[in-house]
Amino acid sequence: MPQHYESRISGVAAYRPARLISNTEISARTTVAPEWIVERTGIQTRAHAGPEEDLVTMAVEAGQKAIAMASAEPGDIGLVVLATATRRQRIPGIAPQVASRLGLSTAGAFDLNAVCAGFTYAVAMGSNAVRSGETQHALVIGAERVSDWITPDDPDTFVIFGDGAGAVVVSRSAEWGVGPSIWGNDGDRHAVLAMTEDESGSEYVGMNGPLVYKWSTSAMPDAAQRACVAAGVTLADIQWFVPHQANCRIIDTLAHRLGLREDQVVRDVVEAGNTSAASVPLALSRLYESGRTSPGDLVLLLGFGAGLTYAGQVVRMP
Amino acid sequence: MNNDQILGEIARQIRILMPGLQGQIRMETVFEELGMDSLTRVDLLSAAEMSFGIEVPDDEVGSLVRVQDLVDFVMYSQAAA
Repeated sequence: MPQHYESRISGVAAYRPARLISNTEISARTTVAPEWIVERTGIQTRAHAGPEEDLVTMAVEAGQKAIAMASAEPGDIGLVVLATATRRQRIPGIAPQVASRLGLSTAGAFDLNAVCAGFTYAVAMGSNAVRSGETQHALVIGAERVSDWITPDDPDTFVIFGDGAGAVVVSRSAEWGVGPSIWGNDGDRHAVLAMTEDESGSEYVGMNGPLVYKWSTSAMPDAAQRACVAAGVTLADIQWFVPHQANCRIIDTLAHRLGLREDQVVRDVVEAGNTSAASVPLALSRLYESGRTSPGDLVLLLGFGAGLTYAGQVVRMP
Repeated sequence: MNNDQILGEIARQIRILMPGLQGQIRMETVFEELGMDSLTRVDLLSAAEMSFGIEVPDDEVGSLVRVQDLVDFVMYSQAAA
């Protein structure tokens, strides 16, 4: 019979593109005022990756730092799961390129597309591989260049989305540090956040904001509860909440409905914008770098978005 | 519940969501004219779902723009239940 292990997050890191776009700049390129953007989304800036900051480069940068923090031997990293939805080249996936550049030649490597929920699905995949004994460490990355797929002609998306990459290393552990994942979908609502085409045939992300907001704020509180139950904890035990960084309106409404205090909630979105699958690891990295956490703190991760699909789990801070 | 009771409950929920709101809330009131943005309107619909035990389908969200629209929808939903 195979042996079973526990898993924990042993490293977390971010790559943030150099160029930050202000609301004033967004306003100059669209029909919306900076005040409207802040009131509507809470976002002050978002990063747009430059030509040199391609998905592979950003993912490698974040992955390298996470591996260093975890002190993981490359030969012991048997799996790379890369969550992204914004590759221009649909074949091949980019996880093998990331693995090769990191010297992980024996690792399994694949991309995972669950859009904004991608990272929390990827954590589930990585954690399950570690727990089953298939690998000692798994590198889990969320990387996005959403700026390639938005247009000033559609301010609803242009004001919120940004680019970046975040990564964690999930490692074999004696005590549990990544709880069982919960997930679900509402595929009948696939059209509320989806790639669409303009008159010239160019693809861009289209979103029905009110319907995304309605689904997120009505369905995700139950998902959060389920993640806690799966981990054998209650919401009152949760010290930090790291939801998908959709926008501040969704995050704040969710936190309110979960009864969480404002200072427990990470709002990386204010500076980084909504970075789809990169948003949860970027926010987790910001929380770690803040120095406000202690190893073992309970953190609720909750990814949700286009699909519609969601996944979440309770983890312990490294 | 009759029309007036539904109106009263909806007005109460609007004032919870918009604490600084001045003036009366009438049947003909358009949510946007109260300064209510589209996401707050969604919050109102969610509150109505909870309060009246109804469900607002996605394809109705965009059409419920006046108090009267919501009152009518609640009446219809309750009659159909």
